[in-house]
Amino acid sequence: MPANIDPIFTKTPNIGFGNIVTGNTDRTAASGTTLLVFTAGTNGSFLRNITAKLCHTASSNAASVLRIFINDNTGTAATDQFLVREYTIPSLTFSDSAALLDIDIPMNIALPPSWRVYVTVGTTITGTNPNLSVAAFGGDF
Amino acid sequence: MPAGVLAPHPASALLGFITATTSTSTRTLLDGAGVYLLATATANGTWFERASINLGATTPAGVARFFVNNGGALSTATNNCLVKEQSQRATVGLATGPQVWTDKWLDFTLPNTYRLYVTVSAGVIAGGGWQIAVFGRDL
Repeated sequence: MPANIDPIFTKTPNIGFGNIVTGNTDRTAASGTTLLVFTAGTNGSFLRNITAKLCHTASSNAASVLRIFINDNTGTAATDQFLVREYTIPSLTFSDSAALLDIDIPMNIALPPSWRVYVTVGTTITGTNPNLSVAAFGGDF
Repeated sequence: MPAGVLAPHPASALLGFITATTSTSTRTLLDGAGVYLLATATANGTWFERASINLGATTPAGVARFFVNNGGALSTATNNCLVKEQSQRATVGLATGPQVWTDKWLDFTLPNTYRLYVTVSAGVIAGGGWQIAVFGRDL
C-alpha cells in the first residue's frame, strides 16, 4: 500500500529573492559568491519557478549564465549541494521604451524541510548600476 | 485541503494616471518618486493574476516595471526585486475608438504583507500617462 494516496497542496506562500552581481566560476558553488533565494519550510516546500531580471540602468551587460543549486542544509561544501539548472543571461541593452527579457525558469520540485536553493552567475554582471534580480516563487506544505 | 481562493482581490484604481513627476528608471532602489503600490498581500497570501496597462491618450513608447517588496523599506535594495517588465508601443489617442491596453501575466503568489509595486519609465507621461491595475485573489 502506498503511504499516501492523497495529493498535497502548499498552504503558505514562500518567496525569496535577492540581487547578485559578482561572477563565480565554481560549478559546485562551494566557493565564491552565492545568493540564497529559497529556504524550504518545516514541512517541506514546493518550488514552482525562478525569475531573473537584469537591472542595469544604462549601456548593456556582458552575457553570463545563471546557475541554480539545491542545497541539503548540512553545509556548503560541494557534497552538500548539486547543480540543477543553468540558464543563459544574454547581453541586453538597457531601454526605457522596450522591456528587457523576462527570464522565467520552471522548477516544479518539492524540497525537504530546510533545504535551500542558491544561485550564482558565471561572470560578473556588467553595465551601469549592474544587478541581476532573482526571485524564487513557491509554497510551504 | 487545497488553498482555494476565498475572495476576489481586485486592486484597480490604486495607481491612477501618472504625471510628469512620477516616472523613474530605477531598478533596485525604490526610494524616489514614481514608485506606486499596486497591492499588498493579505493574511494567507495573495495570488496575483495579471496587471492591466491602459494608456491615457497619445503616449510615446515605454516600459512598466513590476517589483516585489518584502514589506521592508523601499530604500533598501535587498527588500525589492524586479520580477516583470512590459513594453507599450507609442500610441495615438482616438476620439472614436478604444485606446490600446495590455494585460501582463503575473501568476505568482506573495506571502502576507509582501507588496507589489510598479514604476514606469521616463517619457511615458505625455498624454495623461498610464493607468495600471492589478488583479488577483486572496488565499
